[in-house]
Amino acid sequence: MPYILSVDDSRLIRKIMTGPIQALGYEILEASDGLECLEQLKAHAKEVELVLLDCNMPNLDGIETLKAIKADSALSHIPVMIVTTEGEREKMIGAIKAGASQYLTKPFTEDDLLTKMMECLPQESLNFG
Amino acid sequence: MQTQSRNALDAKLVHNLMDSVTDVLGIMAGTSVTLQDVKPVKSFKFKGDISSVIGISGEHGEGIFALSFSEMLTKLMVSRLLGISKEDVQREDMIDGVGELINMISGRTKVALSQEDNTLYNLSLPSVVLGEGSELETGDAETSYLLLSFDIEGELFHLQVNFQTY
Repeated sequence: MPYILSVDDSRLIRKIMTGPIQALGYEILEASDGLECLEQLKAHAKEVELVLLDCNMPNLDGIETLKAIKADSALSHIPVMIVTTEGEREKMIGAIKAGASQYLTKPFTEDDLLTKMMECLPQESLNFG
Repeated sequence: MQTQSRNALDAKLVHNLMDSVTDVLGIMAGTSVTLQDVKPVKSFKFKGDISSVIGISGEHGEGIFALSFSEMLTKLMVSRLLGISKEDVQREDMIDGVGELINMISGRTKVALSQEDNTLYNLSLPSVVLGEGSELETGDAETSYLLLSFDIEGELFHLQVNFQTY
């Protein structure tokens, strides 16, 4: 079963992600901070096809988590999409330089989210049910 | 050193916050919001059943934003955010929802402030306060705050702001 891992300290945001993720034919995995994200990825490295990653989180923030994913040869192939309130151009450029595949600022519409997720996922994996 | 007059700063900040509140609640909850009132207040008392507070700081300024909703309005907002009925909204999601809304509103305002004075600002993680009337102790009796009151479908909610430049 292919997964999309949603990483956000807000349970509400993770719930908001569930519908669009399932609409693309994926199951959702959840993590509430960067440390949990890395644990989930190590347990499901072969099944996770995209990580949705918030920036401002306790314990390990999004950019440090992104750097840890990209530095790990077992995880670096997994695309990461930043989903954050950080809308400054400098922060977007910093995230892309650190290896992010996409960048979505909150607030977002469901269409924004679906479009950007589809750009990160392998086209042959998409299943609209 | 203060680089612009208090009134000019307040006016810009109010406009930025108004746009942020309208955009965030419009985009995420499909809700139309109207500004009802803006006034200065001397104390920082939370004005609703569920409030969230966040700190903002940067090279040229720092402050606090706090958003307060009634329980009824929080339920309405969260039900629209999740696309479920008000009866199915869980208390944890209400608390989380008010925290996430102040995060998004402050994030959008922070971008506008950064563009205006060409510097970056940082946000703290939001904290949620339950119960009306609790007072936030800021340690400075001379500090004044702006109280912005908004209307959604006849129900008021409030945004309290303190922002100092230097």
